Amino acid sequence: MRRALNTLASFLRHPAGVIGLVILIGVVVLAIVAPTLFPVDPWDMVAAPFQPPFDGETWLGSDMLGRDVAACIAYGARVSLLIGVSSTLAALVIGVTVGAVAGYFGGRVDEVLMRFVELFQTIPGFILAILLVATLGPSLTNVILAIGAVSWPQLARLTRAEFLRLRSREFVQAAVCQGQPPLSVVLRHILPNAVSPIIVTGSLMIASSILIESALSFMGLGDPNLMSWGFMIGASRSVMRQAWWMSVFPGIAIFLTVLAINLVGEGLNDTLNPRLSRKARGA
Amino acid sequence: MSVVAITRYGGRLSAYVLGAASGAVKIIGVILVIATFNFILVHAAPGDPAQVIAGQSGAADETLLRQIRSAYGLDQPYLVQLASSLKKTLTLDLGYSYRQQRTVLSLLLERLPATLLLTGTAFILSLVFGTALGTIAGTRAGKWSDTFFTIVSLLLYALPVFWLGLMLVLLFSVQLNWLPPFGYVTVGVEMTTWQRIADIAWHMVLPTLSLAAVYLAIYARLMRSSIIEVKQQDFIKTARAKGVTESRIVMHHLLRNAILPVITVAGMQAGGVVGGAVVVETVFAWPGLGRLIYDAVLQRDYPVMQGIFLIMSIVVIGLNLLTEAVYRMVDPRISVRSVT
Amino acid sequence: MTDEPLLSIENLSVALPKGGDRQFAVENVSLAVRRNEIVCLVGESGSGKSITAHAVLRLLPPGLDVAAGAIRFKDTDLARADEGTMRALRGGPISMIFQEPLSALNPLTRVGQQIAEAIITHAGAKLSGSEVDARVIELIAAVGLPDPPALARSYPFQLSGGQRQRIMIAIAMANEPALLLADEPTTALDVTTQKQILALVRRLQAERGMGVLFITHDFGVVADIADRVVVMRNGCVVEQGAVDEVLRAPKNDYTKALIAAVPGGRPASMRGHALGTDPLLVARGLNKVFTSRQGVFRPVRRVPAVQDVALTLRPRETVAVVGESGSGKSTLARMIMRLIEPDTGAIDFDGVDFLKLKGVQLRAMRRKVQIVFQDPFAALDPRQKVGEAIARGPMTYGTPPVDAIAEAKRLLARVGLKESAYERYPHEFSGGQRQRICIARAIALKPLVLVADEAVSALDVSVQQHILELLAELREEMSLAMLFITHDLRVASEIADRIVVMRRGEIVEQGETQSVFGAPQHAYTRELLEAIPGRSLFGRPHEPSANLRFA
Repeated sequence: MRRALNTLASFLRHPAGVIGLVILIGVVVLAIVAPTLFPVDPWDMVAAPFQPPFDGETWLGSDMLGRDVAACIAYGARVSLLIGVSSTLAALVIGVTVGAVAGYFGGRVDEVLMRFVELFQTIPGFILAILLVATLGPSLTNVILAIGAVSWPQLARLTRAEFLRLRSREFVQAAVCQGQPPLSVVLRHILPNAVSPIIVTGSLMIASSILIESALSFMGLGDPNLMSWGFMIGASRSVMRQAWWMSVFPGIAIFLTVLAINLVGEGLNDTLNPRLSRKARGA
Repeated sequence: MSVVAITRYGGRLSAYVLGAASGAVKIIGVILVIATFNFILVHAAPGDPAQVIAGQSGAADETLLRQIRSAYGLDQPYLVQLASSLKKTLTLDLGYSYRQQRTVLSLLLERLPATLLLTGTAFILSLVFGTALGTIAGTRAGKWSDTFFTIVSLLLYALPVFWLGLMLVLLFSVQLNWLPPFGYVTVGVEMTTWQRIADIAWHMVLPTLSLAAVYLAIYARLMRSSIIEVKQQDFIKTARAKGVTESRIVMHHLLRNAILPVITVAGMQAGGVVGGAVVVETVFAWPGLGRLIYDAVLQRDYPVMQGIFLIMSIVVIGLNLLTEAVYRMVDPRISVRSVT
Repeated sequence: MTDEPLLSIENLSVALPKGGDRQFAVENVSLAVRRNEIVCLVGESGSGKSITAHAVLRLLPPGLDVAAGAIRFKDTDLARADEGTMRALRGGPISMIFQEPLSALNPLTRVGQQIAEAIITHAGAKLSGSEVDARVIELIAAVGLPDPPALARSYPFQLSGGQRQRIMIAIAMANEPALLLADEPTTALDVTTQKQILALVRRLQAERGMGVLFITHDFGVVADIADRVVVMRNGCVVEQGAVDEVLRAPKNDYTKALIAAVPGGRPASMRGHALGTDPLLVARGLNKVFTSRQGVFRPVRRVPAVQDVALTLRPRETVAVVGESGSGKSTLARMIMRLIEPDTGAIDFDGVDFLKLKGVQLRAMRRKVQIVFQDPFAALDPRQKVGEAIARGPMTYGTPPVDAIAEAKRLLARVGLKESAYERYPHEFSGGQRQRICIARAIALKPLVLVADEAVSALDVSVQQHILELLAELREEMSLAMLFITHDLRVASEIADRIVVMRRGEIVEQGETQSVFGAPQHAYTRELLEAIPGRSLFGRPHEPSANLRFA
């Protein structure tokens, strides 16, 4: 508990991380209060088409069908965060399992699994995601699975490297010599020491998942029932000359969200990074 | 005790040969795996595989479906189908686009050069400028120029590629009218070869910028931290103890050592650049494979999508092998480098 | 020896960054180096000896600055000289060599080019390319390396540690320096290599009449190489003088303690215990080859680490396995711990075939053999309370937590720490304290055999002495048999009943400690004994020179 508080305190000393955290909280709050703020379905026509922003009727203007851009952005925040988090969780489950197995057992198992991971990393991930969603159908689940499927190799590699590094560390060998069974060694000594870089990479992965999701929606491969930022930008392309706000605002929303997550991730990295704390320890 | 390989010097040429051989094996391996994956995907897709292959175009046309079933042997056991599709892929028979009424291979080969031009240029530009900016920031760590470049790369890194493209169009084409908003070359104008090259280059400016920006940020950040790390190593102190000037230390000791991790990551990121090309080509109507896959998605033209997936993967491996070769040129210890 | 000092450091203070626990890294240090003499700057870690040497060339790490004092070299005050002057001096009249010769050389450049760079930097365009090449070859030959033209073309990773350090020396000699700063240049090397490098530095110094400021932590090295000695502690000079005076009749208490702590002087068997007769552990025919693959088409590399080794350990007996790096001694220890599986061989341990055990049976047997590792910083889980690290072992074997915790606290007190240490984390302890925690963790399981893998090698001599004493006491109290792995023959001579000498994976000689040191049979053992630094003053282990033993 004291440890967690210490971590939080040292995170708060990181100005960029705090800025990121503030923006991120803003986006999360927007996503939560979207239905209260905009009780009307974002797909419904609420104003005349092509209303410019800051003009009274709507905050951020309306699109070619009279939909409220601000409402669409608020609802889009829900989709982006939902997909970002759940596809990262999917990637975490696959990646950490594969990496842990490869790193702990080593040898043949490691060799085979890592060939597989390497292959997945070679394949252009975004094209694989397009292919998966296009073939299996553009539903929310399929989009999450497709993004998870292209993101996990990075986590697998990281987890494996951490496990390999820690497995040969002397404190882990000492635990083995104490007669602790393998599962206890992994859960008590390896995983707790590997978890910081996994958390950092995982948090940064939420940002890249949001970027992939928006690109898929932009290509017309988002769930057609859900309003998303990428879809909004895709829809605005043909009318870019008349209605700049239709593409500018959703883009800013993506940009800020991704930036905020990256800043928080960097802050976490600096807080949890063992190299810094090692320096502070001295010797 | 350390288990470090010592490869004697004469081994360097044979290392190239081995590199080429293992590259060839890699390519064939990836082709086989992707062909298998494509095969599974067609059968995993909801609905009749023949309808999937036909795409939206001929879904209702029973004669076409019959034709597809016999061409793909869809009535045969799965393993036979798989074997024949692997064999076809290895001989570069990538199937037929019923939508476009052409073989997929001819379609892809027609579009490939434009994609290679765009991704290649963006890849090289982002590497060159990224490492340059990273070096400036890293050698001046803590000074204002470092802070400035660090913030810029942080911002660039958070930009969605397609949106950046649109914003560049909005600014430089719609507002300022300086650069063409889309296309590959001005249509319907007589041009000499040189004029044509200049025209293409002119059209390339915005797409290349959009694609290169993110990777430039990645390489700059990486190079910066790499420079800072190498700066603290003992051999830099040795150089200083020799009386070597700071600029020579940067050029002769710092740069070469610091660029190694950037090269490794560049190889790993090659897939990302190729993926980014898809959205950039879509935004700028660049007549390459990315634009083609966008159209294929709209028309649910699966043979084309799968063909692009295969070709793009091969392009990525090509870029991987290229970066590996560069690494080998820079680092004499290559044989000690492990896979991780 | 002329009286005119070549280098004269006067009241030098180097400030640490604000907010640390000390204000100065080096405080009010004065010393001088004359032409044609070697001055040894000796001290334990944190004494400021290395910082002092770095301050001379103004190569201090970022954050450290000269706060006061002067560093006079000929007519220049180096503490105040501008950067251009300093650059002209570095690698020219003053040159420097470092501790770790692998990281001190640029890994991507041929060593010949790295030597040439030093020449060209100072000679500029005055020399033609072929003249530079000839000079490089000449320098490589001068530092005693074979086949200079081929060596010039190799990369650092292709050379051994000793060869790399010779290349570093060649770089330092490139412009005929008047002063050489040597920062622990032999610490990372094996003893036999250390002996050669010390001889080389001595020879080059004498040939060229150089002044040398030689940094070391080892009084043996001091005895071998120094004309004068400066002893430092916590950033201050505590004593200096001619080598014979300081080593034979030290005035300062700290110097006395340091010299007394140099291992090898105290006899091993001040023991009344009887060794058991029936062997407790018998290893036979142990073999281990490490293999690794670089790629599909590359040949599998095979590195034989241990070849056909047999070893016997009797109850309550201490066997020291000595050898240089690559001798396979650590691999042997880890095979006996079952941390590395041997390719072939058998280990009979307390009546069972240890290598045949698997799973639960293996874990049940593990408590009988425990290990203390070399690096006390790596050997404790940074996220585990130290008390838990000790109590966890007995708990695994079914001791109720209450008892295990009480026992852990008792053990902490036994190894010389407070019971309240139980609740604290490893980073709150010093290296020596951590090693005590590791020992407590090992003996908590009441093992029959304790394996100490270079357990005192990473520690300063004074701490080393205390840990050795602790181990000796515990051995008697708990009737432990000990397998003591070390590269340091002096340490081995103090603790072992029997010595096993290994080289390149094979045992070349073994026998009673007295006889191995007194009448070594194998040429390699003799070579190792010859290479022990400071023999002239400290004598050979087991024949201590009386003049050095003072109260």
